[in-house]
Amino acid sequence: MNEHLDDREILERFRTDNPDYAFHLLVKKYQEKLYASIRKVLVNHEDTNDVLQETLIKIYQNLNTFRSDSQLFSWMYRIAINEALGFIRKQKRKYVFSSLSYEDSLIQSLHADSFFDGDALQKKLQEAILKLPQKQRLVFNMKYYDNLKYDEISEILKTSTGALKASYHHAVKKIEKYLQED
Amino acid sequence: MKRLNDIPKKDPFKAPDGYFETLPDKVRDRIQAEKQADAKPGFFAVFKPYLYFAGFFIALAFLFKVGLNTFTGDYHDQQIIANQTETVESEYFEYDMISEETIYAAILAENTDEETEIPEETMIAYLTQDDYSSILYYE
Repeated sequence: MNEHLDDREILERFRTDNPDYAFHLLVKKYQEKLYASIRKVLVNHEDTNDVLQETLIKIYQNLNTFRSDSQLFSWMYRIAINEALGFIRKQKRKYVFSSLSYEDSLIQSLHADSFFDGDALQKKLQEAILKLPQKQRLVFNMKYYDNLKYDEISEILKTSTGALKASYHHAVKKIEKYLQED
Repeated sequence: MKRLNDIPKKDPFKAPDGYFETLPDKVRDRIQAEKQADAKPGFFAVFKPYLYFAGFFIALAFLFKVGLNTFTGDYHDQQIIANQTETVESEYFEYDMISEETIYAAILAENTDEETEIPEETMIAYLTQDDYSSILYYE
């Protein structure tokens, strides 16, 4: 069968013909993009795997409620980011009585990550991103890596585009300052 | 001076080899497992509505019983005691009202009645008969 159907055809198949197969096609099509978005937020592969699987199950359970007037991937991306943020909230509770912060643990994960594929400069950039406040970090990743428009980020994070632009500007300044150190 | 634009934009986070080949099947298996789990609800999930229903009626019956005792039970008990007391009192009252003369007269009248009730012919037949079975009969 044709594995290169567009979103509309996959949705049509999900609703009428063979939902499990249609969903299989959808996962194959978007799993890497979703993985990359979640991984930049959570850093650790195992955590990313857990959240990605939860995200895909949620997508399956709610795909019938998806309204075709918006982009399917934007809708899936929103679910993925919300799941990742929910995961972070739970993790932060575990670090309440710890001398280590959750953000510090992410930097440790970065240095211990055997799947990191980049040079020292790339690692330093990721360190700089992980040192940003959570919202600035999310905005930076969405804008810089995922190429989302401010309107789309605004819808996901429920923040005005003006505030998002300011966040992104501050994030870039902080990152560049960090990169100049040493 | 290091600027962000000087660094090549690339995603340095990689997934383990073969991860994306197996992920769709893992997700499918989890979805199937969740479907089966949803299709087989536990004992408590099945009987929960009935247990709530039974509990509701037991509570309702208890409240009804308590309410009934509160509003009518005491009154009912008091009525029974009152009736019993009244009967005993009226019996005592009636006994007190009967004079000794009346009682003696009633006893005498009973004896007299018995004697007068036997006709004379019967008495003669009684005194002259040899068959004592009738004597026994009368006694």
